[in-house]
Amino acid sequence: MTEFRGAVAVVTGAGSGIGHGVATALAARGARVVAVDLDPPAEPGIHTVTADVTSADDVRRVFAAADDLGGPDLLVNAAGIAVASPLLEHTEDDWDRVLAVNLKGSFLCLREAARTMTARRKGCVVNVSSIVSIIASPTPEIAYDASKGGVSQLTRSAAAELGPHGVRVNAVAPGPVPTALYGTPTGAVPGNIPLGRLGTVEDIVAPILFLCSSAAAWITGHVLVVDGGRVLR
Amino acid sequence: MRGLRGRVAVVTGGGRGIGAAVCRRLAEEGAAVAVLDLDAKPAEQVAGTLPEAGAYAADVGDPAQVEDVVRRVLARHGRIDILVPCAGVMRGAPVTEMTDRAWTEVLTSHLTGSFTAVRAVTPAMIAQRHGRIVLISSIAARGIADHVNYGTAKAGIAGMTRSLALELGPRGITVNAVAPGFIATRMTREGAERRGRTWEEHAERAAEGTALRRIGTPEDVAAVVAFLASADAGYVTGQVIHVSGDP
Ligand SMILES: NC(=O)c1ccc[n+]([C@@H]2O[C@H](COP(=O)([O-])OP(=O)(O)OC[C@H]3O[C@@H](n4cnc5c(N)ncnc54)[C@H](O)[C@@H]3O)[C@@H](O)[C@H]2O)c1
Ligand SMILES: NC(=O)c1ccc[n+]([C@@H]2O[C@H](COP(=O)([O-])OP(=O)(O)OC[C@H]3O[C@@H](n4cnc5c(N)ncnc54)[C@H](O)[C@@H]3O)[C@@H](O)[C@H]2O)c1
Repeated sequence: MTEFRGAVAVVTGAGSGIGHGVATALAARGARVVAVDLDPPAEPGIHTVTADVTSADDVRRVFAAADDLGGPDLLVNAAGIAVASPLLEHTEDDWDRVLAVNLKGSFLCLREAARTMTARRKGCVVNVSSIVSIIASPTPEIAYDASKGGVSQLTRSAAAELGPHGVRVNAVAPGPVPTALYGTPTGAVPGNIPLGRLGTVEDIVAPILFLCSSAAAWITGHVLVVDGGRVLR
Repeated sequence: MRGLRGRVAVVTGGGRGIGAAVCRRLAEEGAAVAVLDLDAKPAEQVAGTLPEAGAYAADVGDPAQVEDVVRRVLARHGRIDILVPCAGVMRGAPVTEMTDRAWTEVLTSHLTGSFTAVRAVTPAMIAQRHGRIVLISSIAARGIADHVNYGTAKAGIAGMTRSLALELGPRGITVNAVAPGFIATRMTREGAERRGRTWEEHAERAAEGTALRRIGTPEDVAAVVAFLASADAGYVTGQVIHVSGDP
């Protein structure tokens, strides 16, 4: 459990859900974690930074903190929001907010991380996309789905550009996982998941850690779907 | 990293190249590995260095031989948790010159060979309600000139992965594939010879074509196979993971 000893890891959305799971799992494996959220809870052994990923100034502050620790080795972009409403009820503000957090926030953090990572010729970024970048969401959330399509392509394009500088960029695309964002699961497990259950935060955290690890040293630009087979249906 | 302790794995084409690296990696993680290859000798060489491993000579193109190996593995270990069919050959030629034999050899070794091995091990996996099948596709599934047989077979593996994942998910079995890029093995060395290039020239061209600017090693692929065989990938199924240094 020492795979990440000494590595400096910036994790956004670390206050809740998947981001929180990644931050604690990386810390447990020896990483020095910079946990970023709008209002991050204090955690023993984790360096928290209050920041809004949609603000370029805030993001610069986050990476200044990471540089003070020796520079970011890992970035996990897990901050995200969703607005569930039909297209005709989606306001311009809904669209702007969702795109700002999910897509622009991922870009701003990637850009700041890449400054140090390309200079040091090492680093690894994992974005959190979603299966709704591949299939339509069963409940309408047009801005969210579009933002995740953007995150998947951001991943591939950044991988092509940063690969020659020694930086890997991948993503996970989770299926439904009960978290604050997903809400409380209602009723029976959807029959359209071949593995027969909803995902857990741990189900998503382990593949993210795999993509961060040396076992994935020759994987870049990949969007790894972690959904119990949901997109196959 | 002994996450596969108590697990039993069958690896076809385990005598060299990617298959041999998969055998070593799975054994490192604690699995007992059945090393299957055409000839006993290379299989024994790999198995001989690994604790609890066994060597089995069989042609994956012959279902009876594969079924016999699976029976012997079950008799020895009582279970099979992991299947990684790596056996296969490449027989390139422009389509106008491709012989029936070249077509059949490639389709048989990769596609029929994977299917037969899957069919042979799944009854045990279903009974255990646990199984991990990791097939070997290739970036050639996107298309590869002068290798219509191979490109077809590897795209077929992707379809096999998704179909089996749907069917076997409810039985507690995950089915995924890796799609390697250019890996240094005998298969790619023969490719250099066919094109009349030195290995260095051939490998350098391949490296330049990747974002990470290097060719892959069998160990790069084996590490991803081990992830897919582990509990960490418990919610991953029906996926083809590109291990190619490139988006
Ligand atoms: N839960 C799912 O079913 C699911 C499925 C696919 C993808 N995802 C994605 O996983 C990621 C994590 O989601 P989750 O389910 O853990 O949700 P969550 O709501 O539990 O956590 C998201 C965190 O992001 C933080 N955040 C939101 N806006 C921010 C901002 N502007 N700046 C900084 N932090 C901000 C929130 O405060 C929250 O702590 C998101 O990108 C989400 O889209 C979730
Ligand atoms: N090397 C690469 O760049 C590359 C890239 C993508 C995918 N792959 C795939 O990875 C797998 C392994 O390839 P490799 O590069 O290690 O090749 P390799 O030629 O080094 O090894 C293949 C092994 O399979 C065995 N084999 C072949 N036909 C068999 C049969 N009918 N029955 C039993 N065993 C048989 C061979 O004896 C050999 O030991 C293959 O499926 C190949 O298509 C390789």
